[in-house]
Amino acid sequence: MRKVLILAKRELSAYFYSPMAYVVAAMFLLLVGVIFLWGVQIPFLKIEMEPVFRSGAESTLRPLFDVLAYGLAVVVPLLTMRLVAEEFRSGTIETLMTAPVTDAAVVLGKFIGAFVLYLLLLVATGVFFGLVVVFGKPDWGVAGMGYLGMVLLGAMYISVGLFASTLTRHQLVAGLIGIAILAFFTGGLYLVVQTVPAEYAQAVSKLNMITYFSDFSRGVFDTRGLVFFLTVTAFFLFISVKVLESRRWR
Amino acid sequence: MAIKQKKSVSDKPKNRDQKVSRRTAGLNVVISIAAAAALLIIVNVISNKKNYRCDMEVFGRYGLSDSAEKILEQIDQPVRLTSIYTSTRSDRKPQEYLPRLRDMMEEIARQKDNVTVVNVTSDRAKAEVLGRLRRVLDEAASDHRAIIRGAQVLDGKQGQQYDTLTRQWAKYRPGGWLEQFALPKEIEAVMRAGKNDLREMTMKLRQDLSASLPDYPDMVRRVEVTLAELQGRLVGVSSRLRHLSTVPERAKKQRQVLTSAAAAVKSALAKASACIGRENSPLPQDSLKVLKSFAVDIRAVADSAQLAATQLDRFAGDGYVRYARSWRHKKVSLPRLYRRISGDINNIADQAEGLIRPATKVADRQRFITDARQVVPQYLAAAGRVQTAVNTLLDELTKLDKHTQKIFAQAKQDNYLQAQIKPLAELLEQASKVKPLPEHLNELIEKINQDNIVLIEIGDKTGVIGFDEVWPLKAGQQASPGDKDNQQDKRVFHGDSALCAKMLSMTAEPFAEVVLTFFEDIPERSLPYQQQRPMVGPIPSPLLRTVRERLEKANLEVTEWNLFRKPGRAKESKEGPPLPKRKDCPQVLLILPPPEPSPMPRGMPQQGSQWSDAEVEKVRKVISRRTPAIFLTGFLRPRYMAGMTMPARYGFGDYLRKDWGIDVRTALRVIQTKPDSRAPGKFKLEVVQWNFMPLSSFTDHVIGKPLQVRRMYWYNACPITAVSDSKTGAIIKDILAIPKGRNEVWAISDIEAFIEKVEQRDPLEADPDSGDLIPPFAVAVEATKQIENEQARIIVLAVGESFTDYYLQNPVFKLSEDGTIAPEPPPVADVDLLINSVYHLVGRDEYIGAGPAIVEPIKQIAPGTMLNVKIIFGLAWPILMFAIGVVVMIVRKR
Repeated sequence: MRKVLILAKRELSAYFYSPMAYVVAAMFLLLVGVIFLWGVQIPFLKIEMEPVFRSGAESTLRPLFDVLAYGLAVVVPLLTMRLVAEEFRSGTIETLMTAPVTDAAVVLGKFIGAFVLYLLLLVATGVFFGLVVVFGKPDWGVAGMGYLGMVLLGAMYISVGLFASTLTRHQLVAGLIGIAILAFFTGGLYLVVQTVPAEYAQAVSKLNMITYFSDFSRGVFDTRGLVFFLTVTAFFLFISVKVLESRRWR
Repeated sequence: MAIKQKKSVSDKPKNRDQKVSRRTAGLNVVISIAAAAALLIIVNVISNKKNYRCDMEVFGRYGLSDSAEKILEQIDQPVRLTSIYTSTRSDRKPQEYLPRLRDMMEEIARQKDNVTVVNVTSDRAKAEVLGRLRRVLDEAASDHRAIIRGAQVLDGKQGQQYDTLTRQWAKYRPGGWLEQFALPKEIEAVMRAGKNDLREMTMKLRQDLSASLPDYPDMVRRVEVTLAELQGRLVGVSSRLRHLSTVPERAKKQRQVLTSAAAAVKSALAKASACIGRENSPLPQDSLKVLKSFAVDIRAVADSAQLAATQLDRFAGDGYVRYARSWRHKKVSLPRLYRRISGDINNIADQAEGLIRPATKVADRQRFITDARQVVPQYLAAAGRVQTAVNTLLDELTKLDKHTQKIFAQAKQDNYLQAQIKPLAELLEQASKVKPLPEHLNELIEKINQDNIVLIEIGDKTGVIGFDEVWPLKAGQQASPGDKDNQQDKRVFHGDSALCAKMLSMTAEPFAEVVLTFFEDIPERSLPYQQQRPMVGPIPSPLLRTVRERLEKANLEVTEWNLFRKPGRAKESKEGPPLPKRKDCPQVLLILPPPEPSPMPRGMPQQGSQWSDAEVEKVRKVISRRTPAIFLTGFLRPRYMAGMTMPARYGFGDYLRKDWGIDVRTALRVIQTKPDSRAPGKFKLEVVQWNFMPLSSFTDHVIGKPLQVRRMYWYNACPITAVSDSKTGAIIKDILAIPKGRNEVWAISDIEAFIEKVEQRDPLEADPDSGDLIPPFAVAVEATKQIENEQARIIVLAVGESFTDYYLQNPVFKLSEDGTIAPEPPPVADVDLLINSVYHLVGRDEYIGAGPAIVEPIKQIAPGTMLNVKIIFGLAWPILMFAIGVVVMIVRKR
């Protein structure tokens, strides 16, 4: 475990010593700020969302979280795309593989590093919640569950991004693979649900990552969601380990 | 070469080993990943079957209410919920109103495994749903469709027939026998109209059938109306022809009689004329003798003219001869002409007889004879003209042409137009036997085309919940003055109560019976000459149709108990309400205010039975036997008698005061005003508030709490206060109350004086000295007490007139900020107070909808503050993050 933490720390330092973390953080906060304070209007996509923070509006971050659940499907793979792909590209993977750490420890360390960065980003959104507290009377239960949902969703997204990063030596390709997988399991399945008959729609919607998140975002704790997020995260970490292992015998 | 060969021989097993080991490793990986995937699926399936779910909300804004959860627990059948939110109206944007509904529906689906949720947002998906519903409707409306098909077939078949008939009648020989009745053109018009009506009907039917869900009952109604009208016209033509076919024969038979009568008039006149001599001949010496003879002759003329008129009338009978062209001479009918002659001649006869008296001067007699000599020949000429007219009439009626003879041959046998009339009659008969569609399908047809609806399908039943039920308007008038945001029309989410209550009513048997209790004598058929006014109270039971429907939709049975007894038939009067339809079904009396007794003065017979203490006693007995009751009452208008104003008396006023310690102040009217900017501390009344008083200041009583943010309007409310020294032992709890300090609301005592002040635009204020009542007081209360160890419960709602159809079916008029009066949806939410009261009294508090959650929104933010917030948190905060990165990079480079 110590080795995992050392790897996680190394990964986190790498983020902060490179402009990547700051650029992504700035972009993320800008995105959150725009949704929160200005709203989103994209007429040709028929997307019309009023600002979350406005006079007379509901005192909640829920609309923000609901949009972020989709937005993170793009942001998180950008954060994770370099995790293993960069090691492949720079050749440091050989050093890492020969070091006295298991593949699982490598994957877990990188996951924890990215996850901590994600948590920091999430903490940075606290200022927006602070505004809601100052100007309104939010439902703390909904807010708490919303943040818990974001944490679990983020962990799952990171595991998917990490898996994508193990597949290729090209960061951009890894990022695109991660986005594609997440886009399919979020927006893609949403579109599928809209088109299939109602009898199947309910079953298909259970594969949608957002379905479980929406429970948390409206303040409901459901073990189904918890189990789903944790098991999917574990599954993608597991197959990431297996992909990494395969380098030894391929 | 040898070395190479050796090397290759030694490498082969190695490569093979590597391949095998790679394959094994790959297989291991595939198996382990498959196992992990399987494990993932199994764990998730198990967690989906056995899960723990906990709503962590504090305000209960997104989750289901306890009542909704309880209702869902009771539903065993598979349920399909379909939201069809596709409105294009700017005030009903799906993106604004659908997400919350979708959350709630998903929450229901999470709660119950047998609930399927479908969200329809596109026209294509909507068309699919409608297609499915259309199949259900078509199956249920097979009888209706048969009628509609029949009508279409009828048009196809009869359309040509009417064309042929139209052509036939258009070609009717000019001067033919029927022309004298102007009938050919009329029949031609009837045939043409018949064809057009059928064509229009089928076109409209085709148009209606192309609708997503056709209103089959309405279509059948329209088919019935069209066919009945057409049948009526055809039968009219047929019977007229049948009748006319007998005319020529009768005319022949009557010719002798009629011509003789006409000749008799003329000859009698000639005789009378001869009696008095010609105009220029010398006057008779014995004028008395001449006059005597003349009087007799001229009276005979009058009688013969009268006889001729009678015979002509007898000949015409009730039939169509009177419509014959020759029946009239110079626009006056022949009998009438004879009657005129008879009348005039009678006058002459009277004058002649008057001159016969001996005292009459000779000169007068001679003057009369001179005058008569001039007049009588004129009547003789007239009689000649009428006689000619009679002959012409008889000639025309007896001369039948061949074409008409053929038509009459058919008409006599009752065959003419039967080919058209019979199918119409058969289809009408079939239509009259069509069974009405089930109520839920009627509701489906009625509501399916509304904007933004939720469709509920349980088994073979369908229910529709309209937009206003899911998103009722929010109470807006309780905001403090100047709080514009809260005064805007905003809607609150009431979906879980609306959906769950609907599902309950679709699946469960009614769990309580509301007995509408009243004292009314409404004559079944009021004939105009009877002038019998119905005896009803201020809230007549026939005006509670909306309330009845809503109660039934809320899973309650509605029955009636009329306390009225006809005089002399006291035994027929029921001592108690009708027995419940099911044993385990509790009853609640919904008691309407009785009409005030208006006894006749002493000595005059009493008309019918009047409201008395005997009726109160009946109700008292029932309530004391644990049957709860809801009293509907309100402000009662004073009576004006002999210049005196008499306060109206509420029939249950004494009972409520003495037995329950509740003082219903029916002589006072609650009003709500607004601060008058012209006179600080005083108020003004907006006219619309007189009829639509917005008041949702419900207490936390279980009945009223869910209604605290609902938009509710009241009419003619009166205050309720507790009797101060009451020893009834009743515990009174307010449901809807006006708290102390709400100065803009009070109860007025002198309505006339108040209206005068309003008309004169005087500033208003409560005047307790003159009898006005200032808050606190209630307008709806619940009272409980022990009666013979049993707990009796009543609710008094002093807003009774707000439940009438007139109030609930008409728009609310509201004064907008620019001073114009704008209509709003009717105040249907008022009925929820009644439904909640019934639920509470039958011990079903769990079914009382939780009502919209009360959540404090984000405060008003000044534009300057908002700008700062945007700059700091929207721009500076990400820039700061970026700047840190730049600094880190610079430091690292150094």
